[in-house]
Amino acid sequence: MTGRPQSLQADAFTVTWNAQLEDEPDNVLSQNEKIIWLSRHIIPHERALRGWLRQFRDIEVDDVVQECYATFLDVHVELIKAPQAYLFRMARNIVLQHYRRARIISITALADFDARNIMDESPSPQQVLEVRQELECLHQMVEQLPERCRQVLLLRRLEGLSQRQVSERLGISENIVEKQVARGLRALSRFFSEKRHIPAKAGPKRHGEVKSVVEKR
Amino acid sequence: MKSDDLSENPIDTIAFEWVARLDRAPLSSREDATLKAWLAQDIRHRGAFTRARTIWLSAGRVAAFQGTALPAEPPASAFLSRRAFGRFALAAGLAAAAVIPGKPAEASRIYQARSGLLHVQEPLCGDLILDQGTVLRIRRGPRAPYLDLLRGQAHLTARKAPVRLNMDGLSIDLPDGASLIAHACGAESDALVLAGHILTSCTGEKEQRVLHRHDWIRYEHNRISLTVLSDDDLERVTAWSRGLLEFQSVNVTDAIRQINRYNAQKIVLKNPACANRRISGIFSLSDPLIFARILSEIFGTRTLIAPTEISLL
Repeated sequence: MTGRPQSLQADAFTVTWNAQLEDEPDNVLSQNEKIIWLSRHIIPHERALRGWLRQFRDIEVDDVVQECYATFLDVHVELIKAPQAYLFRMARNIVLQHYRRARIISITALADFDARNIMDESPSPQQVLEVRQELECLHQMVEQLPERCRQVLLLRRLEGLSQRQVSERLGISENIVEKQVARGLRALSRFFSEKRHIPAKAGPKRHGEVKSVVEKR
Repeated sequence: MKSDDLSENPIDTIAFEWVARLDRAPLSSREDATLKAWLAQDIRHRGAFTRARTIWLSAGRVAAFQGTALPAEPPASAFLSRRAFGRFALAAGLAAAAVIPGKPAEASRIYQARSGLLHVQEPLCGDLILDQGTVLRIRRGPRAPYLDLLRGQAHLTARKAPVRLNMDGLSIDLPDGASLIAHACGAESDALVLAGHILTSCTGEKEQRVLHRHDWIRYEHNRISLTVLSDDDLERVTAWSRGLLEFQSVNVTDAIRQINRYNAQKIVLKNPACANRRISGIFSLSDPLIFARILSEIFGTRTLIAPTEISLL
């Protein structure tokens, strides 16, 4: 597929990705800060968001999630007081835009499409417990990674070694280290997006697809 | 398009590869141009890339794993091991039920659903759900009760005794426990088997047929056809009997007309811009307000609510 990174080439003019944005100095700072903000305030809610989005027909959950992340880059995130509610409203608007553009509009369960269903931001004792459980789950996930992938991930993110240093420590090529980093990212992606067997209550009130229409009355 | 398996999402996969690549060393100018071009192609690319960077940053949470065994320095070896509803929404129909007694000598009763669904537990034959406007007559027969579906559609589940259902061109015998949805409209009639094994007789045919679940028999102008429905189609066709309306690519005006059939509070579309748009979805047939609100959300119309009318402006 086009657009993939090519193998590292001996180009005389190598640049860092962030240096690419030097002509927009404000943007450099804000992009990195936004990534930090997203990691703290958005990604913990992605799993709940995906669960909520699954009730809508003809909606590609991945597409909506990706568009949310892209949109955050254009938003003054520092002004967002309630990130979780903001995320769900953003996703809600993206779904609505999708339906408005669609030739045929599928609106099953849109009765749930009400911001009132989006809970407030105050953490409940249960949510605090979930934070601990999440770390435990993350630990388990890392432990279950293939050995090489696990070692690369820990050396790179726990010990802070560069990919080159990881390669030297493990006696493997840098190409393999890079591939293992990508593999670790896929595993982390699943961790932050898939259902787990812990009590989850971090999203809007969840209804059945059609049942909700009946039960709301 | 319902994939949610991130491991197979090609955009995410590429984004992960780029972040892994960026983590390794600075990009060459050619790589940089490739990445920029890819990001500019689609907002999803940009979002996936941002998300991948966020995940990679979040991976720092593994720092909480102090004490986790890490590979020794130097490495000992170049190679290491390595995805029913609990009740019916029938209240509106029950409130509008009408029983028109027939002549006592004929020992018959006529049920007519005048507004909304009519749910009846008929001692002679079993459980009945009549759709809006449906007219059904029940008579005592010599061996089994007779049901004459005169107009509309009915969901019937035979209880305790076999039942015979008559429509124009079709005669159906239901054993105890069998269930079907039958529809009669002038010279056309049809029946969809939901449970049990049902015996049908068609005008003009000598032989009887045995039908099973999913079988849908139609009699139109002396012509008979038999179709086997899928589970999805079965769900859609029976939705009304559960208090729901399912639309599949239905014109908004027609959808509103159908919702209005079941409710005293009518939706009035006063904004012509969305009249010919088509919608698909499942809705409570007795809750016009929710339906109107959904239309309003999607088409950006204003909603004006009065006791007998909901206007979409």
